[in-house]
This record gives sequence, C-alpha cells and structure tokens, in this order.
Amino acid sequence: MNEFVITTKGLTKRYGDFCAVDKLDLNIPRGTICGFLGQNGAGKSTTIKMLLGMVKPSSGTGEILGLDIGDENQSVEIRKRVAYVAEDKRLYDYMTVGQIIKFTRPFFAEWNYSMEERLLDEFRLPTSRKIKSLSKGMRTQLALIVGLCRNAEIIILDEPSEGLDPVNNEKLLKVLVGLAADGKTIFFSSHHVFEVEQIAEHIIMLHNGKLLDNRPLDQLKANYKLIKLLFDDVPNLNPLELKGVKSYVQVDRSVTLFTDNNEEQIIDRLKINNPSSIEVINLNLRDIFLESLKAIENYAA
Amino acid sequence: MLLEKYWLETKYRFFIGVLFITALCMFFVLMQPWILEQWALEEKLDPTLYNPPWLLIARTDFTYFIWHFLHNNLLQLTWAILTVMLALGGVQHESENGSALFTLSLPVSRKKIFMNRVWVGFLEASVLALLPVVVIPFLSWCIGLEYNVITGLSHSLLFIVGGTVFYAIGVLINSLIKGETISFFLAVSLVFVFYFLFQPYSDGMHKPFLVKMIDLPGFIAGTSEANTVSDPGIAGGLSCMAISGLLIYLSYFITLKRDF
Repeated sequence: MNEFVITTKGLTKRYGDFCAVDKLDLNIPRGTICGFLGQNGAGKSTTIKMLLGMVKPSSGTGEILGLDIGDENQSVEIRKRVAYVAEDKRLYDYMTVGQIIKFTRPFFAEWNYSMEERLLDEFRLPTSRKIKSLSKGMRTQLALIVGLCRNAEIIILDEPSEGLDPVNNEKLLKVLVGLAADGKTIFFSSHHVFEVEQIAEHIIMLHNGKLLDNRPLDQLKANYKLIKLLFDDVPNLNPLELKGVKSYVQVDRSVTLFTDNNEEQIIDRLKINNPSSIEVINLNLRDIFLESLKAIENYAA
Repeated sequence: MLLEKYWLETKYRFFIGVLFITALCMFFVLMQPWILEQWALEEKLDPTLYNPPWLLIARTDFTYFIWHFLHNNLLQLTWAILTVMLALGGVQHESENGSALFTLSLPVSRKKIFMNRVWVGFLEASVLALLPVVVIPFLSWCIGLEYNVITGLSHSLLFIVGGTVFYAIGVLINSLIKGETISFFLAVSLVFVFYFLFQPYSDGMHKPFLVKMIDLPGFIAGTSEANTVSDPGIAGGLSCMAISGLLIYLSYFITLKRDF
C-alpha cells in the first residue's frame, strides 16, 4: 500500500479576484520522484510555498508527513523534515560559500557532511568566495548544496536545474536518483520536461491553478496516445463524442485524435467510417504535456 | 545563528553609527574651548549682540554645553536617524533581495526570525546610545574638563527608552513597505518631521499641553543634568515603551500574515 507523504484537499490560493491555485487535491507517495509540470504562472511555486508555510492558503487543507501545513508550529516541524530549494536561488550576498554552509548546518541535526563534501567537490565551488560574486549557475549549485545536505525525508525543488550547464545538470539528476534510492521523496517542478521524464516516476500537471493530471509516468504514457486516421473522402466526424478523446484536429482527409485511455474502443468506433489507414503513436511526456494543454485550450475556446 | 546573520547584515550600519557618534562627541567636547573663545570674541566685537539664555548658561556650565549641543540636539537627531536605519532589513527586505525563501525554509518560526532581527537592531541602537557615556567623559578628561558619567548614563537611558519609539516606527515602516530605500527615506522623513515640529520648543520655550504629550525629542533630551524623575517622568518612559511594544507587535502581526 502506498503511503502518501504529501496530501492536499481543495487547496486554494486567491489574490483578490485572481485564483493562483484552485481546489488542488494532491497525493504524493513516499519514496517516489514526482515531477511537477506546468506553464509559467500555472501555480506550481504558489503550491510549493503553501506546502511550506510561506504562503497562507485561502482555503483547503494540506499535510506533509501527517503535519498540518496551516499550523505555524507544525510548519516548523515540516521544515525540519523537508528540504527546499526555491525557484529564486539567491542567498545571502554578504556571506561566503563556506559561511552560508556553516550557517545552515546547525539548523539540521541530520546534516549530511559526506554529501556536502561530495557536492562541493563535484560542483567545484570555492568556499572562500563571496556569494555576490558567484555566477547564476554557481548560485544554483550552492542553493542545491544547502538544500540537499539537510538529509530531509522529502526534498522539494522548484526549478532545480535553472542556470546549470548540461554536465552539472546530469550530476544533479544522478544525485536525485541516488537520494530516491535511499528512500527520500523528491518533489520537483521543472520547465525541462525531458529531465522530468528522465527521472520522475510520478507526474503532476497543473494548468491555470487547476490539476490537469496526477498519475504515475508509466500510466500516463500507457494511456495517452495520438491516433492518426486517413480517409479516402473528407469524413464527417465528431470525435469528441467518443469517451477518451481529449482533442482532435482534422485537415481535409486526415484526422488526428489525442486520446486518454479507451484507445481500442475509439479505434473500433472509427473503423465504421472506413479509414484507409490508422496509426497509433506513443507519446513522450513533452507531447503529452503539450497536447493536454492544447486540449484544454480547445475546450475553453 | 540567526543573531549572527542579522549582525552580519547590519554591522556596517552599526560601525557607521559608531563613527558618526564618536565624531560628533569629539567635535563638541574637544572644540568647546575654541567655541567659547569665538563667543567671547564675537561679544567683544559687538557688545550689543543678543545672547540667548541658553548661551549664557553654556558659557559657564560644561554639562549644559554638552547637553545643549549633543543630547538636546545633534547627537539625538543623529542617533534617531541611525536607529531607524538599524530597524531596516529583515525577512521583508530579503524578499526584495531574493533570499527570503531560503530564510523561511529554515526550521524556525516567523516569530523567532522577526524577534531576532528586532533584538539585534535594538541592541545595536542601545550600544550607540551608550557610546557617549564613555566617549564624552574620556574626551573631557583629555582637555582637563569634567563630565559626570552618571549624567551621561542617564541621558543614554533616556535615549534608549524614548528612542525605542523611533526604532519601533522604523520596524513598522519596514514591515509595511517592501523597498528598503523607500522605507529608509520614509522613516528618516518622519524623524525629521518630529524634530522640525519640536525645534521651536528646544530653547526652553513654554510648551502647550498637546505638544508636551507628543514631544518625543523633548522627552529624550530630558534636562541638562538628567537627574529628575518627574521631568521627563516615569509615566513618559512607560508610555514610550508601551507605544513601542504596540508598534513592534503590529509589525510582527504583519510579518506573520504576509505571503512571501
């Protein structure tokens, strides 16, 4: 049985009339790497901030490791057991790399010294250098060091690879996989869908503050398909009537359907219209994400 | 840890304060004989020159001279400005610098973050207020004059008790406004408004009741000897502390409710 380490029920954040996060229900299983996808302004960072007590929810509830995210005292306990690397990787400019590591360590009883040494070595960060003189990539590396070495049960990362070069990005992904292998739960948002697909086991998609999808990556890939049909004559179809069809595009005799589940029944039903060819295309996460967004926009239109 | 962080954030402001206060004290103590000479010279050149009452006392009473120029004037104003400068910073301004989320990700309550910041600033302001207790008597001794340490200490305590209101105003403005520069100018402008409003009464002019009620600079200055209990009064001190406490609590409440 899966134990959920992060759960939310109807979690909502409103800024005046604008709803940044709308009745979000999440369940994140322990020990998984969970990718959090969404466009800019989808509500990913706001959700993460609500989970960590930095933003107060307008309504709804949430728990991390059984602790109430809305309670100030329990929120402190949450932050003892959850590591967080923010989207904004700026730290205290007036400190050196060594000083900020020294400053952060005492807050976390389980500080991972060997990982600190390893990451400092891998990222080649000079401990005596002032943070204000670090490049964007180096700041990201430092933010990751002071986040990941907390040896927390859950690691929440908001755009962790921002500013990293491909070599260091690869190193980061390896570290995350290693941490997950040690039983840590990793919840990370990213614009780089390929890197999410590379390591994530569970995907949550958000659009305009609303939950778009929330399931294991394998299931997502098994369910979402693109079905391309070619007809001898221009067909008169209304595929949206079919269960599982999320969106479709018809160009003359060619019809492309974006489907979620029910693929076989959809094909059987469309065979009545005698298509000259049927092609079922498996999708990667990027395509699933983009097609899902398109489907939502088409539906809204 | 947090105390050290806030000390690192404010230490340059604090040292600037040490420099300014020491320089002011040095100027008025070491230059006192020269200033007296200048007054005498001016009087010699123009015997009809009007001498205000304070000048007549300042000529003969060194304690009064120091009080008039420092505790009731420039030192107080400088200290008040430094106090609001020391009140600036904290997690509100970290959100402007981009490091607020890192601070808030630490397993520390917002109350602790806020209070640590307030205490560091307050302690620094208090040290700046106590600095003249050492500097003035020492420099006076250097030029063969005497200044009572207890009088200096009493003035410093008045600075701390009364000046806490300025500090609390600084903390409140800082909590309300995100930009550090705007907060600074607003807080300093408020200090100037206070001193501008009460300037006409600084030479011992009779103060109307309403002015007395809100005459914070007057309370901080006390009397030249600073040895009375009734004037500025314990009630005044308690009122200052109550107002400061209220403003600090309001600032804390704003910080607690704020989204970052």
